Amino acid sequence: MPISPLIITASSMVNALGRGKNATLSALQNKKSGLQLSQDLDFSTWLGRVEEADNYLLEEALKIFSCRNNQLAKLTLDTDNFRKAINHAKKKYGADRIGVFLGSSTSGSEETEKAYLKRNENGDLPSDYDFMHTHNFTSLLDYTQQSLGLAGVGHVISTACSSSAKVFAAAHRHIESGFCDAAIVGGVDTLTQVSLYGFHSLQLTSSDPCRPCDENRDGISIGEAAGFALLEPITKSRSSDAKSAVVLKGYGESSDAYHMSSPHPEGRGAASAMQKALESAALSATDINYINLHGTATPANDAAEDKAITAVFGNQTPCSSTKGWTGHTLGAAGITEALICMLVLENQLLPANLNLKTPDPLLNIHILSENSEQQQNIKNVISNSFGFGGSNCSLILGLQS
Amino acid sequence: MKQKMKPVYINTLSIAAPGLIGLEEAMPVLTGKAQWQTSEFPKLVPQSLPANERRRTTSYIKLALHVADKANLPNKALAAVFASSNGDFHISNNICNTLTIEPKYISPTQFHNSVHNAPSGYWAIAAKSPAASTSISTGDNTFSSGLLEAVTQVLSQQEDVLYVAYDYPATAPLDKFSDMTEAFATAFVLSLEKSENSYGAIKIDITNDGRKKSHCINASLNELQNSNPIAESLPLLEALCLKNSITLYLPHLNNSKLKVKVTHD
Repeated sequence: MPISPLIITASSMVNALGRGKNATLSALQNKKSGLQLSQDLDFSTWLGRVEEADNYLLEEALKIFSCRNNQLAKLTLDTDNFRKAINHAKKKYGADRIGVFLGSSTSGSEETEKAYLKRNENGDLPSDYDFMHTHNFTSLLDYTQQSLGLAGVGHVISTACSSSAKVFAAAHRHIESGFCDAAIVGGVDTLTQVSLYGFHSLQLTSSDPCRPCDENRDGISIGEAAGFALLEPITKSRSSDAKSAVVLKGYGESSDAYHMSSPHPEGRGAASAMQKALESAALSATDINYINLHGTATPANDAAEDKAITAVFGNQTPCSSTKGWTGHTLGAAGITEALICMLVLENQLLPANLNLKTPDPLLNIHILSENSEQQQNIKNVISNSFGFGGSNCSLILGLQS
Repeated sequence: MKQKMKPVYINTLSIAAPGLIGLEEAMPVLTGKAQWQTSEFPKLVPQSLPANERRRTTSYIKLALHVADKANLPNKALAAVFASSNGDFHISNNICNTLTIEPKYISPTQFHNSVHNAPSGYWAIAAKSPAASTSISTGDNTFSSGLLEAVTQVLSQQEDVLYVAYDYPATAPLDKFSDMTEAFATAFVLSLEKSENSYGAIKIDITNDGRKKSHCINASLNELQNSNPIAESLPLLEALCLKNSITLYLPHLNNSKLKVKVTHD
């Protein structure tokens, strides 16, 4: 069923490429990856780390939420003039009419990991450990709402690597149903021992910078990131509010119903998510000018996604994975790549699939080996996010027509 | 609400809590004919999961699947909303324990069970459902936020939605850091169409007028209501089982309340 589009009137992002949208854009233009070889793990892997989050302190009044995940959230809220835009939106809609929908796979669970290392002889955790204000997913929502002075509806979605793509769908439904007038969507995910050693035990991490779609790809590089976007109905946002004319045109969600940690080999759920996104945007496959792949660089993901895209789009639409730049930012991948798609539309830049040396001959899709900044006429793009548990989400962003 | 909300029907209902395993056992308590008494929470065996998959799951995952199965009979491939405040304490405890021992190692099963959407993933496999499924949390307000998400899906996508809400208490050492003392889960199918055996209809709104949350009519349930974020559903479950037309106030974000108007036409 076609949906009413929502305009992105403000946004901010921080990831291994740097702080702010310009840092990400500049890295994309210069083909400069943010991945670095990890120095402090028991195995060799490359990470997309945001060092600035380490000592970025929360507001005194919100110190109870202190954890690295919320520090990264604050760093990102303090970037790209995002707070100013939200203050403006608060005057327009009221603090209780702006929803907040955030995705995370980690929240502040690193605090629990640290607390377990400090148990006393009775096995007790340290008394200053605070599960509810750090590890519990609501920590991210409560911190963000209180930091921005908002008091509307919202929730945290945690569906592994599709989390912060699905927030766009939830925000749209809450606006459509009348429970808020505008919404902030976003995602914040930080490096944790659980995700690093967990992916390693599944033999899904590469010892090299990840090489999506390459014949020799052998796993992911994990990253951390945060991003936020303000979504407003087009009728309510004056054109002067719009820093960009990029709109959310459609979304599609599905389940693989196949396996907890492997994608359906034919990409069944992925194809369904893309097809539903096209239907909700009232667009056909030929209207899509670029596909930002989930493209994790595991052998199974890229092969399944290739089959799904070929089934829905054929093999002509330009595709790339941007995980060679940022790493796989897990619960923040959806928002990070949606905002990269926004940069693609605003700058008419098609980013290359970084680290591609030998394209996998078994893949049929059109993978971009180089950046393309020629006259493109890029109007609509799709961003794919697929997660553990077979949770799939595809978003269509486009220029306001 | 900017517009008049259509009623959303609750067409099926299931529950699992100490002394309230299944609607048959729960009905006398939820209709005020019997007092609630705590009892040991049994090991649940969700039938939808094949035995080999079941062995890989935890009490938390089984709790979610148990109520999901009972609310979705006969099995349909419905869109689904899964809501849990805390995730799986048992898995968090196991994994964080193993990370304190060198060399660090997490078992692949423990790792994929650690994602918040593990119950949703197992359910989709068991129910063979390719439909969308989401997994949310808002801490102590999780039940009302999940209900709101499910209602927005029904309203904006005009399709039936299975809502599954569940939380399972922690063991040591995490138990000292959570108020949760009992296991609690409930599930129901929401629809724009009234079914033959529908439990009633709801209309919802958010209110900031400082109202206190609704309490159970059966006062013996008050202790249980405060023992688990999902047990905040109890006043609603009572209204549905008693066929009471009533307006309820469920704890929601920032001290607001989810105003739920329950009707029976």
